[in-house]
Amino acid sequence: MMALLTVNNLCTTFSTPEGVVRAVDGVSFSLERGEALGVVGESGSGKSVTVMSLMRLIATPPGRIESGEAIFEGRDLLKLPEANLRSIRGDEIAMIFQDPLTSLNPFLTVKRQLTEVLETHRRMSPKKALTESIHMLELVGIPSPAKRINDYPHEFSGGMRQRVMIAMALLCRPKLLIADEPTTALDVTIQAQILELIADLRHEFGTTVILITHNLGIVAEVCDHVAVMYAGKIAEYGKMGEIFVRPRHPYTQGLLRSLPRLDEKRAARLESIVGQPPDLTLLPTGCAFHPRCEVKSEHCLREFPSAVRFGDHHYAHCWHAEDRS
Amino acid sequence: MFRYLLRRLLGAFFVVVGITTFSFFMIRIAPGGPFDSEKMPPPEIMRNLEKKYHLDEPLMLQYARYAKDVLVHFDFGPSFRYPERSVNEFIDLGFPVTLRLAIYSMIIAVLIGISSGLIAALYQNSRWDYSAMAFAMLGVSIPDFVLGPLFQLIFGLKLHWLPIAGWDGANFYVLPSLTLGSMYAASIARLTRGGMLEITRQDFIRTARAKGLSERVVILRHMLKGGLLPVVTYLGPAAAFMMGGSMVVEKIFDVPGLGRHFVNSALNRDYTMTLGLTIFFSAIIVLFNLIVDIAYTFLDPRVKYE
Amino acid sequence: MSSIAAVSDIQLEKKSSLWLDAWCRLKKNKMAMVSSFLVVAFFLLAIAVPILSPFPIDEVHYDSIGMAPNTLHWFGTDILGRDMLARTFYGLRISLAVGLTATLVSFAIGVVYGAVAGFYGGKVDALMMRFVDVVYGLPYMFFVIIVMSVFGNNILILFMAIGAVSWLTMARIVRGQVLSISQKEFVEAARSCGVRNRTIIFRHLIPNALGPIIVYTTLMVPRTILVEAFLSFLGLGIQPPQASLGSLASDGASAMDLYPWLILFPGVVLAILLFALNYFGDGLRDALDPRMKK
Repeated sequence: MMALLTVNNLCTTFSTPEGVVRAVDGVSFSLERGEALGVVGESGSGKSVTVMSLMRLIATPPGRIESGEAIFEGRDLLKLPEANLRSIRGDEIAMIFQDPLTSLNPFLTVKRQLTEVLETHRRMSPKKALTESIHMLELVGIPSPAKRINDYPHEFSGGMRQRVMIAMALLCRPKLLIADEPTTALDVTIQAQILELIADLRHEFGTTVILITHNLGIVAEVCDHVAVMYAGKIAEYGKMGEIFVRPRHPYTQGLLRSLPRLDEKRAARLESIVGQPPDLTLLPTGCAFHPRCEVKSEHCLREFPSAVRFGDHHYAHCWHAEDRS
Repeated sequence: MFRYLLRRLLGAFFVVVGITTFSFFMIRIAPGGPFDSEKMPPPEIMRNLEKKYHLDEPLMLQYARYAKDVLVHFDFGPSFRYPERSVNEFIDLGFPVTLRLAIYSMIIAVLIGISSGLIAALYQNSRWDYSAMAFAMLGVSIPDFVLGPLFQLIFGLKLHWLPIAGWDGANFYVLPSLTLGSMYAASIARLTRGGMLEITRQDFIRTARAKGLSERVVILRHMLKGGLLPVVTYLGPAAAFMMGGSMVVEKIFDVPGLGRHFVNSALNRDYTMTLGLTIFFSAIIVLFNLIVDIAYTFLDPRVKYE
Repeated sequence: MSSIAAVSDIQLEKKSSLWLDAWCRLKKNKMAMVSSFLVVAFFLLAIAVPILSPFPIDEVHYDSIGMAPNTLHWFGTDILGRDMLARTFYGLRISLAVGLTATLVSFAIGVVYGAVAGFYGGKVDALMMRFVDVVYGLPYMFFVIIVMSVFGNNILILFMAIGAVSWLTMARIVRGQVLSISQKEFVEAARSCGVRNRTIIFRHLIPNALGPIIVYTTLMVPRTILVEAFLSFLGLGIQPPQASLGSLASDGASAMDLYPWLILFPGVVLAILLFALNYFGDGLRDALDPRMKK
């Protein structure tokens, strides 16, 4: 079966007063239909910029997509004319953003913001769009949706707002749903509900999902594949189970050790990765992770590691990936 | 909503009461009475005059009488300089003229200001942006009383397109309205640009684009309302300034408006007239500000009337 | 006490780099630099020209009435044969003096009012700011005119009257700054060490609120100059034999068809001055608050 989305060697740069920064530096991955990919990394690792580049939502300037291709059902998203891309956005590929308070337009009712999607992509009459929107709100668990749809975003609670965002994204039954840290701005209890909702809806509609987060625990709940990003590059990629059981990259291993585990008998001390996330204007040579790495060698300082494969769907960019398991 | 309106109206009323009180005592505590600078009339006439204007009564009684006349009966009393005419007569004659001038100027300011501000914001850092903003800065910097004569010189005396003075029909309205409106057009252009650029940076605009909306819909539906809010806020103070500006423009173009009467009353020391017109203009401005505030609560759903 | 000193040292260090950054940004802004040069040039001309000019500003020459600009009288002469170059720059001098003094008055009132409101907060703040809100909506020009007509056309009264009506925005800005800064740790530190309220206001709060205050003060100068010119144009400001750019323009406007240069030169000088001051103020704001730009 052909992949739904194949990204090859994506590079995105930002020009800043300190110089040009490579926020995304040669990212490649591919996504099968129905798959759910979790993209994990610290802030500044380039995970958000990667998906924003796919949708061409990077502010230009200062941002610029330097190179690469993103083949979505045979069309290269990065080279498509703006008008064609627009008909894909919100229809075939939809997005959910981090903060539902700032991501919904405060000046427009929820009704206006939902129905306009259907009116644009499905050419629905306002009346039909309204019925459809109310139905979708009901599906994402908004109580008395027929009434609430006339409210403004600030009249909803944080969790409800994110549900509205999700409803908005799912209106056209997109083939690909990109969720950019959808739970970061929410309370912990609400986070779980929203994740559950995304997981449920994914199975119901068979939607392919890219979930961006800095929290491996969240990935475990929703995704079947994981890409770990560091300093604009994919450090390790693999099936959820494999990554969790046999992580190969020291960075992934560090991330996993910093997760609280329920199965530990004793209250084990949580470890954190030493050092700070890298400054993109002053990237270390070779493997950007080496200043924080426990197993670094001379080689790591000189050259970025090529991919080391472990089976068909698991690779890590680390010179010492094989020695460690 | 109704309670909010009532409370705001009541508040506005008290502001007008405050202005009346302040202006009244301001004028009365002035060193020297109204007749000081002129030659003194004979004592019996003086007494009659004092009786007519109730100047023989204690100050507090005078104040109470005046406040009641003004606030209850909307009666500003007789003019001091032209005793046979009342201040209300001047208002009846002059205010429609000033109001018309102000409305035309405001329309010009809003039309020119918003459209050039939008162009500047949508083509940010382009040649259009720079020239629109340089023009706006020029507009802010050239005072009415320089611009007005300049217009008269160019469009009146040199080109003979438009009359340079008077108020007898549509072609007489053009130059005064343009003169009065230009400075506000410039300010509105700058505010529009700033507001729109602020909105462009918002997350919800990214959402709107991610939804695949056309650029036209993104701008008209998602950006315009929030982007123009600063302009709406500005309209209140702008109206207040415009009432002041109309004094100058009415003088330059010899427009028989209320601003001229106000300036003349100040120059002639026509105290009751100065006092009455100050209260009248202030009341108008307070009312206008109230309307702008209420309009704002409709435009920005986040603002609750409390 | 030493801990407080240390805290304010850190604060100072941060500040100096802030000012340095701002200066670098300002230097790059060509229009702002040209404007500041123009403002300085006008200042110098306003001082020098009336002194250096061979024609005293009030010397009447009946043999040179209403002369167009020529090599002897660069800006022409007025209907009393007075040299317009000398008069224009003398008027500029008065305009600048009024602008600066009135700005100073409103600066003082606004800073004190805003700092007090922001510092005490709560009910005091609410009441004080409500008053500002109410007065803000009033047509202050009328009150200035009342004051001018009641107290007579005295230049000192003019300074005071203009200053007294233009402090409102300053008070708002200062209050906002103080409110945001007084939440910060170093004020807590000072307070916990028992430093007196007045000391906190003047040593800690005001210096830290300086950026926006400087910007607004710069932008207030052209505004007060404009108000003065406006009043003088109406005959309610500067009185003869003194002259400001506004009163010169007023004289010129009445004889415009015959002697257009009488309004042209004072008007153009005033417009350039205001333009330069506005541009400089804008540039300063962009430099001090880079977030506002773009």
